[in-house]
Amino acid sequence: MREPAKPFGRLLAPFNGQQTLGNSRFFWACWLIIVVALVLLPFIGTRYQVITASNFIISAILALSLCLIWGFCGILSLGQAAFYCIGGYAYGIVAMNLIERHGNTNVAILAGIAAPALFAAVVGALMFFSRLKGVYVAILMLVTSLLLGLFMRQTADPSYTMGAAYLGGMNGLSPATANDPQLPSIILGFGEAVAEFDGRGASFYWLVLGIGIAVYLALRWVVNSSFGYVLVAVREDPERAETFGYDVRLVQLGAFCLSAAIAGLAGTLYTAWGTYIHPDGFSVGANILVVIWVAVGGRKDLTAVIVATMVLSWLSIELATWGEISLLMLGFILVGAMLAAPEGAFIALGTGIGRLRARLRGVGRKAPAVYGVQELKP
Amino acid sequence: MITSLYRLKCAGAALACALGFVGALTATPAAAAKSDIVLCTIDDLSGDFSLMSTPKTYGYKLAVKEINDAGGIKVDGAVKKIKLVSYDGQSDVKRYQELAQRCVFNDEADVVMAGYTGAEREAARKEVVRNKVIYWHNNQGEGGIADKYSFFSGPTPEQQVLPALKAMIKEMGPRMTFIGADYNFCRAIGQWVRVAAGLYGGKIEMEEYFPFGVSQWQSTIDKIKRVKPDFQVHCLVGAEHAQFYPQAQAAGLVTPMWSNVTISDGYEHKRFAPPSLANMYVPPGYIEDVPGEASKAFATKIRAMFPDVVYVNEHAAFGYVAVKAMAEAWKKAGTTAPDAVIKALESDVSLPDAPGGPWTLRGSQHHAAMPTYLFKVDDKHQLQLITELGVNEPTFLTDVGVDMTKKAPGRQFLPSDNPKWQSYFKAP
Amino acid sequence: METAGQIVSWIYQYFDNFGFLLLAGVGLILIYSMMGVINMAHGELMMIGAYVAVSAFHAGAPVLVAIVLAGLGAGLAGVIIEQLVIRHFYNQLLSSLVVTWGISLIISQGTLLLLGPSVMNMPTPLGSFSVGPFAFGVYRLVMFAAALVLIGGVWAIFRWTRLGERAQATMENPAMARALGIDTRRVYMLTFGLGAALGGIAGAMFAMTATISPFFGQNYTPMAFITVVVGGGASPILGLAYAGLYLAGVQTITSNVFNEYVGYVSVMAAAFLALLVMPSGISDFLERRRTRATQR
Repeated sequence: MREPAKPFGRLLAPFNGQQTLGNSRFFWACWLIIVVALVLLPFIGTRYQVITASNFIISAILALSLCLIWGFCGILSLGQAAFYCIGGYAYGIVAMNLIERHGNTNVAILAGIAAPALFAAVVGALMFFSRLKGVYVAILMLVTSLLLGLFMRQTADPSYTMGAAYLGGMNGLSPATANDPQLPSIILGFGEAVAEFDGRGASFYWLVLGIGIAVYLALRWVVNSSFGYVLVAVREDPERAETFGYDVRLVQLGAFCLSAAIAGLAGTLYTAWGTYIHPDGFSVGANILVVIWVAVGGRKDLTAVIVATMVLSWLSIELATWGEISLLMLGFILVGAMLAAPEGAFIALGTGIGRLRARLRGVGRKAPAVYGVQELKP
Repeated sequence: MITSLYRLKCAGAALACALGFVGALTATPAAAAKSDIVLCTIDDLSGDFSLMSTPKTYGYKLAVKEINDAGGIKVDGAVKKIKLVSYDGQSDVKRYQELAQRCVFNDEADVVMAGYTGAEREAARKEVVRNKVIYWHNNQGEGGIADKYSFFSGPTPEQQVLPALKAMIKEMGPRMTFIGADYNFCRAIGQWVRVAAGLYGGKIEMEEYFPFGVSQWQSTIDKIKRVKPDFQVHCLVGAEHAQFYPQAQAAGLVTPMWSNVTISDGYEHKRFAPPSLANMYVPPGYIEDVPGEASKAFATKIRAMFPDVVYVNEHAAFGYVAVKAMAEAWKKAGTTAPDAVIKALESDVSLPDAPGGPWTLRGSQHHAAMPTYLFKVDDKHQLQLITELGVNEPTFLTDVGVDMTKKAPGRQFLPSDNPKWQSYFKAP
Repeated sequence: METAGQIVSWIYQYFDNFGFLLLAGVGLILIYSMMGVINMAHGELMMIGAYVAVSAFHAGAPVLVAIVLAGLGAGLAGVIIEQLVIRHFYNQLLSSLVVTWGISLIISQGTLLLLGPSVMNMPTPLGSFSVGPFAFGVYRLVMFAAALVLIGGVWAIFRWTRLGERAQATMENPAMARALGIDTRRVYMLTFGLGAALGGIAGAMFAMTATISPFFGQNYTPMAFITVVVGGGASPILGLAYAGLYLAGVQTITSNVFNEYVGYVSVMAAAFLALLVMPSGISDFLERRRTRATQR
């Protein structure tokens, strides 16, 4: 019953599978149209829209990182924003120290990805080898984030410098002295051959878009690979996965580190985008915001999470122009979305429209639920 | 076949949403050719800080209404009105960064006024000034920011900490304790308190900083009681820190207190149950209780326009002052081009009828000279004027060797940067 | 006398810290352990209690009556929230977290719009006592006592009443409980209402020591939740007590030996360590040890 393999289909095969919605040629055709539209955005939109779109894509990358561990591995972290901030700070500190010597931010970007991954490796090893699970992991990560935030907020004292970077407490990272360089945007390349990506420009937007697409495709490949199936096995029943010979702790740790690295990448891009990083991201609200994006989208699908993040981010900024009622409206939207579709509004929307299309075509009247979305009741 | 077709449909739906999103994003109308002067403001209208900051928008609205009712301002060969674009920062630092971009790129603001806390200020300010747009911060601050595009209408420690502590030391004696929230503003205030102690013969017996969220104060109260200071200096911020006051009252700690973060922003004397703030001394640049015709007239105008206002605080006054000062500068420059307007602002724009008393922006400082007042909160939470602290000039940036009219270093200076004050910061 | 006063001060601080955690957590743990719901809106229920109490107080009601009214008001709000929203989220910890976060935004911002920056306060009653050079507020000891009474009350309800029996049955096995004719929907509704009422009473008690704003409750939620989770779900009431004893102990010692900052950080670090050593909370850990001991 497989579709006949075509060259195009073979190209996409690694990204398709049971763990993701949207594996058909129709999906990929639409996907391509959207990507082309997004690439063309700087030519049709205003500068503000391009800058804001960069911001949203960065948020979407952060949301994808949580989707990987929560949706596929069953680990909810209430401290995902902490990895994002660690990445942001690591990028900023390294970039300010090396920009004059190197003339690029290559090492800083690597630091922004590696630092949170290393941190996740340490905390994750402690957690998973103590067999911590469920809400306990969530709270432990929240506590970790709050502790880091407590530390960063009290670094207002001028003695908190790391080379050319002054941690700056709640006012955010800044140069240690007047002679030290400002926090740079992303500069890639070697020696003289460098390209600068200013966070306010179209080039930065294209860079972020490229990275976003790469992360999306890479994650689709990961979750549809055999490792992805192991992840889902661990999510559904850790004991059974263990009896099949998998070391659940290692699988969880691996996914956790990968997720932290992606969150760190998003944090790096965020710092470079606004050339600014501040400790507010360690707070309860910032951490819950990521959970909200993923939950409203539907934690078990990557595409749904991206769409939800984009829509919610856009809504929050639009609501801010409404004045006093902005947060009230956001509350109603959240509660409404969760009531309408507890497993994720955008997954439900996708499934609903899919069913409608099937009916219009007169096939699949009794289409089975898509495996990846099906809720397995204990 | 059924399964794959089915999946295809689901995918299509998710994509349709994404397409819709792109459509929505690009459909937002671009700003039309500007026939108005655009004033863009970001304040906390919802969230934690809304009680303090909402009155700031009252100040903006009143000033804009007065200027527009008087016919507007003649710039670039046409008489233009001021268009006020007001956003809700939701007490969220990242939101300030995003909305500042919206002000600069979408609304093409001629001036952006944003932020209450230092973190909000820096998030918005960095974004505004790196795009070469004029930025104002309009409540008290720690001062010392030397940036070409940044201006500050509120009082700084030079007008609050130094003269007020001089009066306190003279009145009560030299021994003081300092407790404050552990963040930039209170750390800076801590430095200024050291300077005041050094300049006027005070002695700091205890200096401690606390993270936000600390709400049990018994051990600190014990420590202060053991020190038996002549008076206490406070920089306690937020609802949890404010629980210090009833706890101190119950524990019998009645030493006079001085604080520059209480009353002038959050009108705590109206919100707390008396007598928890009794014996508190505060140095506002403006609050409703400030004496003088201009003060009374301003409060009356605000109340006429916004009858619900509980107390007219410094936010309302300095928001109003900043807009008026910009109007003067636009008039003087005859254009809205930033460089010309900055030059006009730097020629010491002055507002003799400002709500708190005569206010003059010092061009070499980007901060203003203004009078401040020392009030005492009594047992019934009435404010008693103890003394007028007079008009104090800002000179700190000159002291550290900066002249804003010549070259702006684009960074913040703290008292420890002043070579003459080094001895005050040596560890005891 | 100086030493005696110092020792009393330490004990007083310990009770103060302990009482704070118990009061903030008591309503939350009920909802968490019984219904599998993380109620991020618990702070807002406390805020409702605080507003009700202060309004009643200013209308001339005695303090005790004001506190009871606060419990009723918050309980009623809780029942409404349960009927409208929460009943779709039983035993879905994480979805309930998101949806109650939304509810908390609605309640706090709604209150801000409705009441505006209106002036609300209530004096701390009962004065103070002194030992040597140290003086202490009586009220904070009353708060501690009230926390013990509330916890004892909840325990008694579960131990000795029909509602308690049914609730325990529902908690053990909802399907079986339903099969035996227990109206589990009603049990859940009453549990949530009771949890909310406890939050309201706690809010009213805190209202007398703090200023009240629409965001009054938000500051209590994270710490309360951390305490509840550290306590664990095996025997919730005992767990909360253990976690409170432990965290308050750490806080009192470190904040006196060092300062309040170290005390605050230490509480977080202590919670972190406790979770690593006891991955399902303190009560679960102790229960297992007991089981192992009896098996031996």
